[in-house]
Amino acid sequence: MTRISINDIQAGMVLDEEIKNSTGAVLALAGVEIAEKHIKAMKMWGIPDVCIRTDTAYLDNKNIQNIDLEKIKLSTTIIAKRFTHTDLKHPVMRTLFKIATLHHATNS
Amino acid sequence: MQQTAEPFKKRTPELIIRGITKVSSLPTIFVKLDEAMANPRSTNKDYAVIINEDTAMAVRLLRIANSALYNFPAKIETVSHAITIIGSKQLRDLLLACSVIKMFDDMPEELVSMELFWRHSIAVGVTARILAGMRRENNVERFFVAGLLHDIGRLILFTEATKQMQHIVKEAAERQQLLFKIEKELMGFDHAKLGGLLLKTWKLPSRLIDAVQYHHTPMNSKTHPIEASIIHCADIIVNALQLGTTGEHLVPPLNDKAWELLNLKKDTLATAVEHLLVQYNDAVQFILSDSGNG
Repeated sequence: MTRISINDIQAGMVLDEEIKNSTGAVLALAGVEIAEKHIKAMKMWGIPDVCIRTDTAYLDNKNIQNIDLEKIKLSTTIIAKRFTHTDLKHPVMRTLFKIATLHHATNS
Repeated sequence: MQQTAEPFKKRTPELIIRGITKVSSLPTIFVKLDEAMANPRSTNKDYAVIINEDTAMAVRLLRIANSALYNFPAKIETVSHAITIIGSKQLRDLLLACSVIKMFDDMPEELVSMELFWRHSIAVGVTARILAGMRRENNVERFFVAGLLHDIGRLILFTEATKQMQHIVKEAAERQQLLFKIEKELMGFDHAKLGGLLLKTWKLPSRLIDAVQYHHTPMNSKTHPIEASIIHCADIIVNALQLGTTGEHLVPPLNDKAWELLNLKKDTLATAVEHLLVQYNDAVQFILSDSGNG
């Protein structure tokens, strides 16, 4: 589970939690693959960030198209262990996580 | 040698440094160059003469000058040329870096591979240099040296307190804890403190001492928090990418204030890493390989 700012969300990521608006209506269910319409709705309702399934959280990386998704998932798990003592809520550490995952997947 | 049956005799960092004889002082060539540079009457020609006395060192410096670390359009053929283009202070700092690596040439590799140790150290040096460049710091070579030397204290621990470190490494692995935290827990100090002390013994400038001593606690440096913060962040980046290792397999936590102090946008991180990967390969090739063979 990785928390990502609404500004960093990309279509294709998979939600790890249910998203509700301020009146309690469900905007998207957990497990749903995010589409542009979801992003629009979340922005409209002022939702600041959402939980994304970690192994889909890095699809916005432009180089990822060339790498096997399974490899990325494996690398994500390995890198997550290395980052145990870091604060992934910090945007710099999140960025570094992405970079490290991509680097690991490309070089392993 | 310590007995493993009983708790380790606690030695202070000062005691450990005093016990070192082999690396107790920096190589003559560096001392000579440093002294010459402190003399206002010295010229670039004098510096070139000193450096050229050590042919192997001169060749190595030229290879670095012609590498991706500098990306100069034309080839630098002589030390004099290198001094003119790169700068004498910068060349001196590069020479310091190469000299230190050479000092540890024949250390036993019981707990860590020297190759991996220097790879990590060079990577942090290159990253620190890049981050400093992004901040438009002058003489970025001093950050390269700081990065290169940041874990030297751990090298000393591996060679001077081998059994203790064996225990510490094992403990860190079992508890999945950061190595420097276990060092502090079991010895009362960590490799950063020891490294700073070694640099003090070598009479290196305080900005280098602080960069090394405080690279895990950058905000504790009263006089050089920026230097310490750059090394701090560079170390974290390199650990995340696992380019070599000095024994640590986890990524240390980022000190928020240190990152703020650097005043860099997180988007620059990806660019920094791109540069790092290119320069790292060159740096490893030219700094770690056997000298002399052109």
